[in-house]
Amino acid sequence: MKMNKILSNFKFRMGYQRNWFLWNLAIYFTIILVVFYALIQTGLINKSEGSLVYRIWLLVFFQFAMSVRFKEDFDFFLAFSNTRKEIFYSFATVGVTYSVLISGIIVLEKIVIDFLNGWLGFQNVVDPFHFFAPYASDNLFLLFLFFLMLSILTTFLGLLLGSLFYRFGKLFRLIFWVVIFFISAIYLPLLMWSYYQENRLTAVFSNMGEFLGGFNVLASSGYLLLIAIVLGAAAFLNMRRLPQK
Amino acid sequence: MMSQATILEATQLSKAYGSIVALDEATLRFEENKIYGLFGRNGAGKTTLLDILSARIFADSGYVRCFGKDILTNPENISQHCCYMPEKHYFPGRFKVQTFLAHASASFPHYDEQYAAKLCQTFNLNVEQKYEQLSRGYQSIFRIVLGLAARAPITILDEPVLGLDAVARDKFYGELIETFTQNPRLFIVSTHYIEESADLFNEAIILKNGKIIRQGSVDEMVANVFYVSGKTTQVDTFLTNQTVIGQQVVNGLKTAVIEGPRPQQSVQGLNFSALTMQNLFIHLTSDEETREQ
Repeated sequence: MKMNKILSNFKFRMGYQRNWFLWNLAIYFTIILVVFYALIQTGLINKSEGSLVYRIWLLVFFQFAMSVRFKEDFDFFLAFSNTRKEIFYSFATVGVTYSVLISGIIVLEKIVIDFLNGWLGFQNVVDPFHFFAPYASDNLFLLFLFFLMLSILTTFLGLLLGSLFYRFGKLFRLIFWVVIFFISAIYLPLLMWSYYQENRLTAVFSNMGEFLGGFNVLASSGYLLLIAIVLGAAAFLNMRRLPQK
Repeated sequence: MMSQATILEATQLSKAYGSIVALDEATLRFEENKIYGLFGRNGAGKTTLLDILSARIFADSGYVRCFGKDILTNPENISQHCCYMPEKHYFPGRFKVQTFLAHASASFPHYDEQYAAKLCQTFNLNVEQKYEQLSRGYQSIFRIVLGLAARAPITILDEPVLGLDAVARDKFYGELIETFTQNPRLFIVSTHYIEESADLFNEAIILKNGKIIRQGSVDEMVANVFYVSGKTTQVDTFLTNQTVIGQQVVNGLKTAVIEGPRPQQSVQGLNFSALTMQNLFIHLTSDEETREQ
C-alpha cells in the first residue's frame, strides 16, 4: 500500500468536497438567519416560550451523501492505478477528517446557541436525540465524541451502500430505496402512534435506545463506533474484489 | 536471439456475462520491452481481456501473473507496474485536465511531468479545459498523454486512437515508437486501425469470439500466409492438402488464402501474392468461409 497515493487521493477528494461542504454551511446559515430574523420580527419567539435549537448536527448526513456517491471516485482512483485497499483507505481518511470537522462545528454551535439562549433569556429545552441526549450534557468532549462516532458511522454506511449499489447496479439501488421508503412510511406513523399509546412498542424503542448506551453518552459513542467498525469492515470486504463496471 | 523475460502472463482465462462468453480459456505471455498489438472485431473480447490483465475485473476462471505474482493475491504488484488507459472514460468531467495531470505524479511511480507537458504541446491539448469540454478525440489524446507519460513498465492502451484524425494518429504512432526506443517497456495496444499500425508491433494477438486464434510475431504471421488466385478448377486442385483460411470467387476466378510456406516455384495459371496484416485479420475473423460474387 502506497501512502503517497492515499495522500494524493485524500487531497483530491478533500478538495472538491470542501466546496460542497462550504456551500452546505452557507445555505444553512442563510436559512437560519432569515428564519431567526422572521421569528423575532413577527414576535413568534419570545422569552416565555421557545428557544434556539441545535440543528447543524444534520451535517452528519453530509458524509453519508458523499460516501454513497461512490462510483465516480472509485472509477477515477482505479484509472490512476490504485488498489481497492488504497481506495478504501482514501475514502475512509476523508470521511474521518470531515467527521472531525463536522463534530467540531457541532460543538461550536452548542457553545454559540447556549450563549445566545442565556443572553436572550430563552430556555434550552430540546435535545433532538431522545434516547441519547448528547446535548443535555455540559461535557463538550462527550458531545464531540458522540457526533464524531455518528458521523464516522454514516460515512461507512454510505460507503457500504455506495459499493453495494456499484456492485449490484441501478435496479438494486432502486429496489433498495423503494423498500426503505415503504418501511419509513409504515414505521414512522407506527412510532408516533405507539409513542402516544405508550404501549409495548414504545418499550421496544426505548430498549433499543438503552441498548445503544441510553443517556450514557460515552457508552453510546462506544456502540456507535462498534457499529461503524462493522459497517466499515463490510464495505472493505465488498470493495476487495469489486469489479469495475 | 536472446529470449526476453515474461513479465505478464495469463493462463486459461475465461469470462462470461450471462450466456455470452466474452473470453474462452485465453492463455497469453507478454515479454518485457515489446509492443503487442491486440486485434479483434467488435465484441471479440479485447476489452474484457485487458480489463482482466489490469485487475479491473476478475476472470471466472484462470489467473494472471505479473512479475511472477498472482494479481489477485498481490494487487499492489499490478497497480505499481501497470498503467491501463481503458477505452471507456472514467474521469470526472467537471475537473480540468491539469488537475488529473497533477494527480498522476503521485499515482504513477515513473510518471514524467516534463514529458507529459511536451505531449500536451505536441497534441495541442489545452490543460486548462474541463475534461467534459474536450471533444471525443481530445479525450483520447488525454488518455494517450497519461498512458505514455506514466512510463509504467506495463502500459496498456485500449483503442487509444479512437476519434483521432489521421494527423493525430500519425503523431501518436511516432510518439509511441520514440518513447519505446528511449525507454523500452511492455506496451499492449488494442486497435481497429490494423493497416496503419501493424508496423509498430513486435507481436500481434488476434481474438475471435473470446478465443485467441493467433499470437506471434507480425512478420512471421504475415510471411506464413499467401494468396493464390486463378481459374477455380486450377485453384481447387492446388488447395488439396493446404490449410485454407478463406476463399472468394469473382467472375469464375478464385482467390484463396492459404496458411503455410509460399511455394518457391511458380505454378502455371496461378498467381501467388502476399497478404497484409489487415487482410489476414479479415480472413481469420470473417464469419463467411467462401464469398461468391
